[in-house]
Amino acid sequence: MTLGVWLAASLFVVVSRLLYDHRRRQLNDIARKLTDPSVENLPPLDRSPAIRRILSRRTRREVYRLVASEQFPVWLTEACAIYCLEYFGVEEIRRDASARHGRKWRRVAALMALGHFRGLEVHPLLDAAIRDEDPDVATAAAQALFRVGDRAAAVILVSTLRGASVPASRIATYLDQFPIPIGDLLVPLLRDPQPRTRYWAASLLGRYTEHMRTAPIRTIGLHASVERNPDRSFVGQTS
Amino acid sequence: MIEPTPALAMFLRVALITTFAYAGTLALYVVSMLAVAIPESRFRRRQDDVEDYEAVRGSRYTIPVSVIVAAFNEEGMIVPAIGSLLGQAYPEMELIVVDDGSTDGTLAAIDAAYDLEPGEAFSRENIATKPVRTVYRSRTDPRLTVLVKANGGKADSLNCGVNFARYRYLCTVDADTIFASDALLKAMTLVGKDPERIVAASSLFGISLTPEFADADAREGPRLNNHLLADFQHLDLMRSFVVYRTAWTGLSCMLCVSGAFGLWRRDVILEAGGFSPAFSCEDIEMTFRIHERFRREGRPYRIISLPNMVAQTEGPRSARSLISQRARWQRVTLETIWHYRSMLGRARYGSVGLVGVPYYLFFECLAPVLQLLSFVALLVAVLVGALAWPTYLAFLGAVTFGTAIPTTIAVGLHDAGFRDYRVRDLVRMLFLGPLDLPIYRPILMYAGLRGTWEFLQKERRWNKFERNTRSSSAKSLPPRRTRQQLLRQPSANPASQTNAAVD
Repeated sequence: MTLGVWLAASLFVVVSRLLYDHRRRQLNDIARKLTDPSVENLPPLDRSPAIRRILSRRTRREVYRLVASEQFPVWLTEACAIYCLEYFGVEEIRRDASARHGRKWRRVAALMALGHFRGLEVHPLLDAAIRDEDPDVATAAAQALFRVGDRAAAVILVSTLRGASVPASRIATYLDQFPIPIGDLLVPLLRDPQPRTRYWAASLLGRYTEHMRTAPIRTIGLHASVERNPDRSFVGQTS
Repeated sequence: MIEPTPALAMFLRVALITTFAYAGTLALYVVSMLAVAIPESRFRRRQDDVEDYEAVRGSRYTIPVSVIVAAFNEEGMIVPAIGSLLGQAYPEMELIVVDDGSTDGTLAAIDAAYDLEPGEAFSRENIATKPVRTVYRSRTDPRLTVLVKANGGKADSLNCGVNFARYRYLCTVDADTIFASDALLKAMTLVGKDPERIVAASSLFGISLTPEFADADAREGPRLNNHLLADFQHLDLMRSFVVYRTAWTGLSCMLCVSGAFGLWRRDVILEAGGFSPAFSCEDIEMTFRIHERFRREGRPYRIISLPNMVAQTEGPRSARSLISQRARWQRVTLETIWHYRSMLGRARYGSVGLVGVPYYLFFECLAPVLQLLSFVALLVAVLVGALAWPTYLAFLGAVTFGTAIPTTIAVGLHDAGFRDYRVRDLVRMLFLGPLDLPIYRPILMYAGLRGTWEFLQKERRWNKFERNTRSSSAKSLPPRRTRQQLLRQPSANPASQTNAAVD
């Protein structure tokens, strides 16, 4: 019996790998076709009928996995996200993204898909998700907000510097690389009662020299709790 | 053929019952571990898949790490090891190499490669160590500090590095190991998700006979050694990390943060009093100590093992060297289990006391003795003519393929996550599985018995195995990528980029 189990398991490993290699070759063909300059300006899903053909053979779970993958070229995740929108519909994606119980990775993938839809009203949903207790869900929402990249998304990300299950260092990473200027959103945090929040605000404001000149930096040092820890008082001035 | 006596018959009966009971318990344990490891491995794969490493790689807010290398007579490997560590695609780190009174050209080799100059460095002296003779700084890379100290063993060297470390996280590594450029990035990204609870982490590493040439970032992925003993060791580690340690992580009883790559929170190391030189090896004892302390005090914490292949370390080429190394491993396991025997079976220590420690006691410490018992019983049964050969051969066949199943699943889980081995290497690994019992296990059994004997003799030597000989072409190493190049590139392993898409 053990011989049978070993043989079956070994065969499964090899066959699944060969299938993987076959799919990878297909994908490389698509990538090659997409380098053609004549189709470069077309929307991702229209660049190659092959993408649509391949995605139509995949289950929702598989397409979601493609959308969520960070190890993957942006054009493909975008194409998959648009495919999700076309075939599943925005309401279905919203439902998956707001699911509270079970199917955690489907929720994570749906949140990442929402990050590709800039025109849709996805902010309240992402705002709720970034405050989720599960760090994987909250981090996915943070990634999606970074990808949305508008002012409303920045407001949500800045507000989570006050506390969320995503570590502040990760939020700060996204805010530091945010595509639009957000200095004015950070200035009010300099008066926050929590020293931690003021630290992050001052540190992030280092990029915005115009705000650094006008921001009430001294208020950080004057705050009672910070006076006990003078090393951190003027961290913003040096960053 | 000898005449069976009642005493021999009784011995055979006892040995048979013991062997079957042991094999049955082990099989049950392995099946349970597989049942935990498969979903846990799937979870880690998903987590790795959606992780935004690019953002972390380019961030100026990542948690800085102090990497500590303890080196004793490592002139052949130290420069490539430092090169791989300074080449980490991680935004902020320092590298502290502690030369533990080497008598070869270790320091000269580092000096030749990194242009050292005597300097000063701030030390906290939190843990007592042998005196530091000289502190060197590199003129070519300011992140590199070399401490030359009196010989005191690996634990003492690591403690010395801890005293000089500036950052909150410590990464203790071996000097004969070459790291993939994303080793720190991947481990720290996960640790950074839950820094309050994750106090230590380890990750899978492979065995290579010449790791300085086994480029862990190679486009074609890692390679096997085409050397039977080295490949068995490689599979052994893969099975251990991908199945057992992953399962223990899922059960919150990961009991060995490996010395080759261990991430620690510095405050936890200091609170525990530093690495202990009283044991033959420092890594497993420190992991046990942290578990014991945190469980006893009821504090939340996690020690995790990751499935990513982060490094290639030098493995013994000959059976003699392997026995020497594994005898030390057996000795330190016995020392640690004996020291922390109070945790065994105690509900107060949760899964550590009820699952982890019993595993180490029954399937690591006692395994060589029970294996020897079954060998002796087999010999006696043959001599008295009591062996039913067809039944025995059927049983042996079942056990041979049964012990290969965890290897097959480990290979399958690794491949599903990373798709980095060539198909032919994959097939080779799968076929090596059933050969493990007849070829590799007897060597380990002998090493285990020797380690047990050394433990009883209170032996404390390190038993460093003789370094593998290199060919003359080994002199010309390919230049490693600089940190700037690595931070610019999109991913360390392009072959892994498309995994998620086609899985």
